[in-house]
Amino acid sequence: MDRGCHPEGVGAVSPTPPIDSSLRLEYVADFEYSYAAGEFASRFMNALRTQARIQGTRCEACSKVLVPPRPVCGLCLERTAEWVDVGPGGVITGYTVVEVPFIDPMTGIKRPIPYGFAFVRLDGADTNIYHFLEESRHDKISIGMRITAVFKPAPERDGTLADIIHFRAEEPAADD
Amino acid sequence: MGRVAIVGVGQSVHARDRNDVAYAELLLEAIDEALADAGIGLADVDNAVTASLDFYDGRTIANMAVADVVGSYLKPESRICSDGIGALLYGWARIADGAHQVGLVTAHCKESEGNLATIEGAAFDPFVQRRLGADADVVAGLGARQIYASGAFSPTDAAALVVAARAASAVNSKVTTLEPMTIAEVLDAPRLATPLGVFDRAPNRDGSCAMILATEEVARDLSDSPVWIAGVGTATGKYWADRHPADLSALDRARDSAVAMTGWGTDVPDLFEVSAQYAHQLCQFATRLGAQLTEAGRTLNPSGGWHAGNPVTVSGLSRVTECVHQLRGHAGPRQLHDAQRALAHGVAGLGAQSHFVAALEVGD
Repeated sequence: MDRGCHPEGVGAVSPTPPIDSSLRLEYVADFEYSYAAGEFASRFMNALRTQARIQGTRCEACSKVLVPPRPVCGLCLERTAEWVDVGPGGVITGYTVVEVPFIDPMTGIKRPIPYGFAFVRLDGADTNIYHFLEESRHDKISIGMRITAVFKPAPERDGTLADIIHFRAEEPAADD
Repeated sequence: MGRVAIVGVGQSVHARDRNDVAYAELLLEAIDEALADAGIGLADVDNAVTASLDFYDGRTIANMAVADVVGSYLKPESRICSDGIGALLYGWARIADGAHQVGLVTAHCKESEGNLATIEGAAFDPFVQRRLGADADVVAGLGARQIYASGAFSPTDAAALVVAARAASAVNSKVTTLEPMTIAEVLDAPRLATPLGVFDRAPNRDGSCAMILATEEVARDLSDSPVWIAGVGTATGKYWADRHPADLSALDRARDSAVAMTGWGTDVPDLFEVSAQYAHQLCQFATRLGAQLTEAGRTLNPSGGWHAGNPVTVSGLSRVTECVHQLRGHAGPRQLHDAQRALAHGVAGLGAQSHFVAALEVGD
């Protein structure tokens, strides 16, 4: 066979032996980090742990309360100045019910499904946090529904957002 | 193409461990100082270019986590995963082409928060070589052996630069003062990856740097003596394993591009701020840029350079900051006599694959 006749064949060699091109290469790396929480997250986490209080920072320019607290109001480009308490009550502004399990980063195991997961606008806040809902039945959850934070007992709190176990309805559902 | 000036510079304090601040707060320190230096507010900035590395920050798209502090909501923000001096070149282009008037350029990194060997290891090609577990020190050790074997430089040349950097750290308020050291002490220190010792690698640091760039019109309004970006250049060389460490063609290309944009001709700049994470590389890069190694701590790296203590990602932009201080005559105890023109250099990638050069000057 005259390979030279075919441009795509120039320089080609016989493909022997056949190559198994489906080889996959495994790589496992353990990326450990120790994040400095800094002034704002540290104060937020400490208030959760020691007092079961949820705090935000208020922008002086627009008066909005940002939760979690942060040093700068991104829209006004101003430094936040004042610490304020928010919640523990609030309203659901969006929700989903998780039906496919995934690894819970807090425990390393799959969180039992189904479970409710919601955007929560805490009373006094102008931003949402997201957290678990106690309720997982679609017909018992609605946008605008009032809910409140359920904290772990003080000895079990360790200064993370998991110090809030979940949010539950402020009023028990009628048929409960 | 419009003229671009640097009208504000700022840096956080660079230290081994900035446990007192989260990385957005760390960056805010530099931004606040740069804005105050320029005499403007964040609202006056019309775009931002940030430099950060996801693996160091420990989250993907890490620039989104500093969007509020760089004021980039509803503004054009771009990010480079490289040294901050690359962000400066990008920020320069945005203003030089007329699209923007005032830009913020930032770089931040906390080397203290992750496992550096794992992070550096992830830079290696995953198909063939990565599982051998090399890191940046191993790559540098291989390179240093080749450079010393060629006779171009000796371990003593490199150690002298480390000594000068450590001495300079004492007069640079933005870095941690390092214990003075002699050449013999550097040479006798424990080995890292032979022939390199532990002091041949720049110390690991947390820190940030920020800069305000502006059009000529804005710059003249803000300052009587703006520092002009007279030329810029960057080039990337071959992957480290395919390139002899003495091959500095990427650095040459970056320098030539930058200098060609200036009106300097063959005149030697008044100062050089040169980046290299390993001391043998500093011998190479500084010499190739035209600096004299005997000038270390004076016209070569008056700031002390990377070996005085900056994090990766930030070092190149820190070099630019020092040039700005020197050209303005505001470098305090480090001030050189009559500095008018400066070359700032940055580097990124395993085995110093990418190089960046900015030519800076004062005067009309």
